[in-house]
Amino acid sequence: MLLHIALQEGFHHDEVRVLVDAREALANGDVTTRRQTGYAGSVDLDVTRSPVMVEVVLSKRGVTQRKSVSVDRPTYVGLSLTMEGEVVWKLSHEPFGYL
Amino acid sequence: MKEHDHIDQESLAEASEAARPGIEPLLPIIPWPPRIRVSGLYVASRIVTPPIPAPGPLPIQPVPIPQPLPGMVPTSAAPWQIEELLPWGLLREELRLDVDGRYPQMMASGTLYGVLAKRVHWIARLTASGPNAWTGSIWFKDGDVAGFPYTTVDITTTATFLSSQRRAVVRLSGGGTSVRTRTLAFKSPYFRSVEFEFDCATAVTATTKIGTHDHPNRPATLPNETLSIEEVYRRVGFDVRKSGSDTIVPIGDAGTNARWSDNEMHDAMQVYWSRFAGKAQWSLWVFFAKLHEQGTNLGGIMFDDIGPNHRQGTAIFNDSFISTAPTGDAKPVAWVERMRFWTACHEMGHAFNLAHSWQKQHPPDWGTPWIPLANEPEARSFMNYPYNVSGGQTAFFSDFGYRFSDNELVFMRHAPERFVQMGNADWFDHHGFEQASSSPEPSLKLNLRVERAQATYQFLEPVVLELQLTNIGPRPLVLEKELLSMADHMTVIVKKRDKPARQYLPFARYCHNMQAQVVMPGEFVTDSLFISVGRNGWDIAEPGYYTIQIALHMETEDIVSDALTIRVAPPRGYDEEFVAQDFFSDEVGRILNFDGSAVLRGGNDTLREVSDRFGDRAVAYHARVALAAPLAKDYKVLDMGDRMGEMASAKEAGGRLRRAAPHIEEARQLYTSALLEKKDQAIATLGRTDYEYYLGRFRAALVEHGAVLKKEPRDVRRDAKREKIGDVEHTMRVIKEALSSLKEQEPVPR
Repeated sequence: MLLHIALQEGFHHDEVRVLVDAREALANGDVTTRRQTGYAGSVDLDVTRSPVMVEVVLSKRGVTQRKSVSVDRPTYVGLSLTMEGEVVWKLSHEPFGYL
Repeated sequence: MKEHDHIDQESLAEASEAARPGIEPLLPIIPWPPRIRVSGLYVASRIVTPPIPAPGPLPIQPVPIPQPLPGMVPTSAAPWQIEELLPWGLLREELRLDVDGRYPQMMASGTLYGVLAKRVHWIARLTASGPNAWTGSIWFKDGDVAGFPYTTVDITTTATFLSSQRRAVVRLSGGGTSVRTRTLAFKSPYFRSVEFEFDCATAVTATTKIGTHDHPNRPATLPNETLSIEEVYRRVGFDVRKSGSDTIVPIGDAGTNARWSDNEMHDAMQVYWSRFAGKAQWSLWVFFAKLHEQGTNLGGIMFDDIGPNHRQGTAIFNDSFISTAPTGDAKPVAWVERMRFWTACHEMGHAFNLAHSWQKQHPPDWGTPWIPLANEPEARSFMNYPYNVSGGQTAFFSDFGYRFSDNELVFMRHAPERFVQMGNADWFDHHGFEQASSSPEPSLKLNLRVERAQATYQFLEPVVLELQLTNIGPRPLVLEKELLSMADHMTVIVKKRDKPARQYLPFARYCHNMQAQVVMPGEFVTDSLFISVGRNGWDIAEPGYYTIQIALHMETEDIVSDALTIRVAPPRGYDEEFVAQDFFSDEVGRILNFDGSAVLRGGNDTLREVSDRFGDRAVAYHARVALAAPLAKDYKVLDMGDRMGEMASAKEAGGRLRRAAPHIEEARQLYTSALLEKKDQAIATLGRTDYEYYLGRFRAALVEHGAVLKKEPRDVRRDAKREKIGDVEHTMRVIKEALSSLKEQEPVPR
């Protein structure tokens, strides 16, 4: 089943690791949001069980967060950062669109 | 007349909306009593003063006093006292009054343009204080605000159907200074002008207009009309024009399903946009294609954050997710058309430097907002994502009036031009002369020249420009004699490719005794400009391409030169790279700029090294003339004894002026090597003007130290005349004669 994880708003030269069930799904040492679109990067995974544990690690900010995500149908996870550096999770069953 | 008609049509449309919201009138409703819209742009320009009268008995025809240009409004009330407050002089003034018409923001903004680069921009929030009168506090200032202390503005308009007679009287007060009152003439119902070009990839159709009632999910009060992108931006306050060159961008071998990268679109923009110019301008390229390489999840993008001029190009991807209507939508075709239209307006908004509605507040490392702003996550604005508001896109479009938010309108109408204009960036970056006040029929032309066929310079070689100011008008002109050597009369911009532009700041400014000279039609005056290094450091040093442009500030206008591009070649080898670390220093820069120093020993050592090791290179000529100058004459040096280098007053340190004796033989060798041995090469690198100057200094030094010039009085007068007109060959003959006479005498003591 499709699990799409997108890095969206608020990233600025961040070092980002995303793990799904403790396996590295995305790792990038310099993630910056393109402000015209609010998009910074994404990864598509084919997962075989649900739920999965999604963990995001922002090492420069010293932030680690994890969330259990149900993937019983195509699932889209958006990760954004607030001005205070907190991670905001957005779950959807519709693809994200950027403009 | 056409402009007037447009206002009337606009007024009718507004009246119809107000009278019967949401219901299409069967007959136009004529408002009564008639409302006269006063919002728009008002302007005034400086009334020029007559030039300096010609001195002497020369038979010069009288120079007529220039008449005010169209749009200038002479005022009787204390004209132009602002010059007393603004040390840079005022050339042009604008007022944007925003109190009626579409989406009035009850704001006024003004811009006062002085001589080049000098500008004050202000914005005030208004309340009505009477019929056709408003008052408000100035809450935003930008630019050269030190001479603009005002805090309050009062505006009164002359309401008349004849736009040519419409006026705004602007009274600025507060800030502990006297009141300033100006009358400005109505110019346009729009605040600014902009131009669009819509180009499409092969087999792609641009959606540039829609019927507002085509989709049933809309506000009940939304007027039924055919709305175009141009009209959306006219309602923002722009006088929108089309370039007239909408075209198809062929994708050739790429195939009809080709996806576009940002760089490919940028390339296409350079090739197919009829207005592409690589500079800031109120012009925008809008490209309609099928898909971006990111895929269907990207509906559009303002792709142009490439190169020095951003925000000039934007793209809409017709085959992306915006072409998929929600399942079960009542009118999916209309939904898609509306979404494509909305996306085009949205992406174009980015080109006007608008952020998304939820990005108004952001971390400091993203940059500085023009004013503190609050996020507007629920705004029914072109800059919000319809599907991100509470209730999703259905809720958004049920309450969407095809407009921008008030904050966004204030920005586009009233923010300083450079914040909004496409391709603009920080002041001085790439387009330093956008605000020059040039005459449409200038009487002078400024040329930048170099003494070589190709403007390529060796590594380490200082750049000396020849400035030539030519009278291209039909009448004689009276100019200050030292005009081209007075740095405070000019602004010089140096821009290395792909780097921000820099303003050249000379080490010194000279105060000359004002002397006028008459320049006849077709005649010119010249001078040199040593431009490589100044108070900013070395503006021209690294290998690469540099563009140089100069604006000369005259009494009534700015004379802007064409841009001159030069190239600095890479170093010839490791030796040059190595010595460059010492050469591109402040000391060496000052020595070269001031033609020598007896005290900057480190810099002189570097120049000696350059002269010895790179004798065949152009830089050696500059090093030798700089080393020769202090050796050729008595030189006064401040001797601070043991306290040399300390921050102490000369008196406190027991300092005294010491005379350094000349070293004429060494000076003679250096001058001879630099000026006489390879004359053409010397002129090419030193510039003709400076070459003549150095020859004169050399000759004077020789004479001062014993050279005998055997001449009759008649010859002396003739020689003086020939030297005055720059006869280099003659001066060289004189010098050689002087050198011969020295050989016949006893050696000069060192």
